[in-house]
Amino acid sequence: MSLNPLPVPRHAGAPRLSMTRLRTPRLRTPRSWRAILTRLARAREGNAGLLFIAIFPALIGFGLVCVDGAYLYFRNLLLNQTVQAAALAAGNRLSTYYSSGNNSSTAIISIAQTFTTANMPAAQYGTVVPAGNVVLGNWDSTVSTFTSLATSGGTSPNAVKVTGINSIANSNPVTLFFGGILGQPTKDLTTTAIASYGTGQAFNTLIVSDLSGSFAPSITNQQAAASAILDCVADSSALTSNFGIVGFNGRSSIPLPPGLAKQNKAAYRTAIGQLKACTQPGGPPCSGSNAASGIYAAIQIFSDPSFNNTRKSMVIITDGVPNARTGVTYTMADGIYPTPTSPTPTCTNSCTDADLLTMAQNQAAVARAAGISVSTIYYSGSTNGSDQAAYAAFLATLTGGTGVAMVAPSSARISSTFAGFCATMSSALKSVM
Amino acid sequence: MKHDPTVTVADGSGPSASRVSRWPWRDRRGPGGRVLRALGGCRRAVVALEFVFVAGPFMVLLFCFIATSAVLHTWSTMQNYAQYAARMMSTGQIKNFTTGPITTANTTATASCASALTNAQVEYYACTGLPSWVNFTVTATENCAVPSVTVSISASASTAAVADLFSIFTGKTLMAKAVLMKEGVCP
Repeated sequence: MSLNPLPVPRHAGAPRLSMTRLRTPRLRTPRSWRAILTRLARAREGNAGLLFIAIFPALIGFGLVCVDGAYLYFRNLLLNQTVQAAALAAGNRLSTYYSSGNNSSTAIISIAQTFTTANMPAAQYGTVVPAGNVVLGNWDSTVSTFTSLATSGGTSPNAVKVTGINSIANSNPVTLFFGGILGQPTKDLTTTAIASYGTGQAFNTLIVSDLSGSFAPSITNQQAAASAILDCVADSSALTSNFGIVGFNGRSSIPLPPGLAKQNKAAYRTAIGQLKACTQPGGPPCSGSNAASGIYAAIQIFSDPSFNNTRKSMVIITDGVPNARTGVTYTMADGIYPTPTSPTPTCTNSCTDADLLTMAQNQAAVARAAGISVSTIYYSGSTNGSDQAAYAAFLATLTGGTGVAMVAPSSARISSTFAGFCATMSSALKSVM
Repeated sequence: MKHDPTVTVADGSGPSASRVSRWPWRDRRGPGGRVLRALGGCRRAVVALEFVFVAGPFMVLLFCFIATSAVLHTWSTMQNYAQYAARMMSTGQIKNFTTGPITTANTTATASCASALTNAQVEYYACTGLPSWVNFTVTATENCAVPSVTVSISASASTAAVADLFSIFTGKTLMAKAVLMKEGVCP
């Protein structure tokens, strides 16, 4: 058996090739170039060497491309995950836009960059997410588009877009191991992630709504806020999420007992439209403004075992601090006891505004201890300018858990702050490009 | 005869006893020379011989590529599962380490993927899709000051290389880390 893959046919007149013959004077002085070429064509020496020379560079090149490709895949994965982490963190801090008091995005940008450098340290990877690459805007889930506030001119963002860059222009391209051999020593990578609120878990929500007389002129805006919160609970959290409304003035009422938000969305929207302030026909009797009673009622609702081990949040929408009404005798249902086991009430008769304020703070503390997050939306428009800061500070003391304190400087802004509350449910990625 | 350093007689009568070749194995006139001459003229198994010369560097390169690819593949997989475990932890879906529930007193844990893990533990989700031939170490940490969760996976690069015949990755460690914001109440 011959190992020669191309045996030379003897009948072709070709001499048997050997080193001996190659050294003959006849071969060293060929009669013509044609003879040389003929001999070369017939020669079988160095087959493997020739193949090696022809194929080896290609094999090496292919191998180098594979190694660089695999490394590029890893860097792309790392950039993707980093930008996603930054976008999720920024989305989680979206509520600070509403709680900052001046619609500031500083905290959002800061947290995005914090998580970027935690995943891709600047010393090693450069500035992957410059401040200008954290953009607030609105995500429209029906058409899956993001519109920045700069474009829309809006002031109610519900989403954050973060763009991570590894590029020459950003002074941090991906340096390839062997790319220089092939004329491409670096490669630019860019990833964009958009995060908005959303969770796959239950996000049980109670709106604790101020129905006192002072809020009557803004009841329409309060209804709009409740509807917007219903939408985000129904559409951006698990099907098992509950939604309800607790009203309060001097005492609490439950205009909308909690139930499944998604399943009852239409009916709940109708119920929200029927909310009345105490001065309106069909509204509850006016008896002051006691936020403690509303918080207490919400705690009682959430104490049902069906809410155990679930996310529980309440958002208090009010236009000011509590005020007591003379002649009202407050009971346990009005939140007069500092703790559920406390034997001594804060007050029962002749309660002062300060007593009701303390009661509200006590009940908020009980709520926090029960694992309920408390957020507040303060409509400052109906408060004297000199009191606004103090009122906002008081309401901020009620917040707890993942809750935030938000301020709506105008009646129209009450509803737009809903996104700040919805952002406390957790953020979810809407798009990664 | 051009390169043969054997001293020859001018009249061409052949080598004398005093003639000494500096390279006797190339002396065509001795018995060894005849063997070499015969081998030189023999064309049998020439391709096999050429293959032997070519295969050496080819195999070196091949195994280098295999080792490097295996390392990069393992690294990417580690990064994926570090992120997966961190996400499970950050959303609060998983609330336990191998050392017990995540609490203010139990904020970090380290475990080997070789140890027995259950799907209620963070480390399980970091280990679940990793190559079985490498021993990975997982460290999970919850930091409520930020708040954040961090999942790190480390492994020996030479083990991950599978065929690190030339010890390119000896002494090197692969490290993948994912840091996510802790959502909801912490811890």
